[in-house]
Amino acid sequence: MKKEVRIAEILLVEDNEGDIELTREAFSDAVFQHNLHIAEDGDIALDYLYKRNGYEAAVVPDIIILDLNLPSTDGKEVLEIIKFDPLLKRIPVIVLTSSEADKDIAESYDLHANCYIVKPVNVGEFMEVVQGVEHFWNDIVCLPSIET
Amino acid sequence: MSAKLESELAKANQELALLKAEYEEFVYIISHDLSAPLRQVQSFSEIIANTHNGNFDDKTKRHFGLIIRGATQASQMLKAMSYYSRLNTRAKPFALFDCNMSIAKALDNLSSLISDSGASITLDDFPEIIGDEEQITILFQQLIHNALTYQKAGTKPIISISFTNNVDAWQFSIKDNGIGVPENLREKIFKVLRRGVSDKKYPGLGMGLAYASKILQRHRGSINLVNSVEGAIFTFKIAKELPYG
Repeated sequence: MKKEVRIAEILLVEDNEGDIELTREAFSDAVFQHNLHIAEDGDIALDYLYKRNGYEAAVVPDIIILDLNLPSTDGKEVLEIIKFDPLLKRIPVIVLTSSEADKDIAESYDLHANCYIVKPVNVGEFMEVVQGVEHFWNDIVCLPSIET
Repeated sequence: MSAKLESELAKANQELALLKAEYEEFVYIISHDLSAPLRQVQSFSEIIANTHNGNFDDKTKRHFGLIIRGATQASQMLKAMSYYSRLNTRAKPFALFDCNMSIAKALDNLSSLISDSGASITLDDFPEIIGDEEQITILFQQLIHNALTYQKAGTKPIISISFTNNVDAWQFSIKDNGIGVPENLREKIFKVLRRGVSDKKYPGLGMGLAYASKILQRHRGSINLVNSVEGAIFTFKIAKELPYG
């Protein structure tokens, strides 16, 4: 079976401009084709996912990378909303945060996060994030597409 | 009190004092020892950027901008954290003071923001209360600052500050016509370095309400956000019977 070549649509929910830039840098070396969409806080992420308040033309992401510490609606709240929504819950969510706290890790998995990655301090380790996304992406291209 | 209870209490107090000392030392280390390496990042990237900016491509320029902004933000956060901890460690003893004076001082500190925004502020006639005057001024200043800041663009702030005389506490209310606070952020906004809005729309560190809560904790009070049709109403209490003099 030949895999269909499709561009991975990735939604990065992140408010820190340095972390946005680092994620962009890491993804610029990724082997798979992708579009990186940015939502700079929790409310914007929800507007994007529900295609409202100016995001009516937003593309449904294949994978979400979510920071926990966000202004406005918090990352965990965004995660909860996604994972309790019958249409959005299948989208893999990678929590990417500077928190190493057991509480945050446990709560994220309780809310059905698909993966939890602590933000690396050096750039090289940021590739782990890209590999994480690639892993989910390989799964997705083998699955029937999610219609929303 | 029985001898056993007394010795247990003494032990608990001793542990509390140790914890407090440890906490203070920790905050000191965080705010002083971290600021030196941070300053190096900030100053040397500024030096490099100033000397070589002409040779940098756009991406490198952007990256240097991020280094400098990141380091600046981190040092602002450190300063805020040490200020926050000093609200406990360097607090003044309570005294009787005129609340009108304290609010007048807060308004004076905010005078340029008030005139720039064209705000109108109505005030009650306030009582004399017991407390740390300097901290109560900071408290009013933070809350009025928020009421002036969190406004839709082009709106002139309308703020009213009032009080009610409860049995065991003075209750103050600050009402504004601003953007208000969504229901799901009601608790979050009082936490240290947490913000209800994005930095891009409203620059800030996320400390104002944390300072307010900390000050009220010391004054055996509390602060609440009351929902209103338009804007926000922050209500806080200060205990009447505080030890002073």
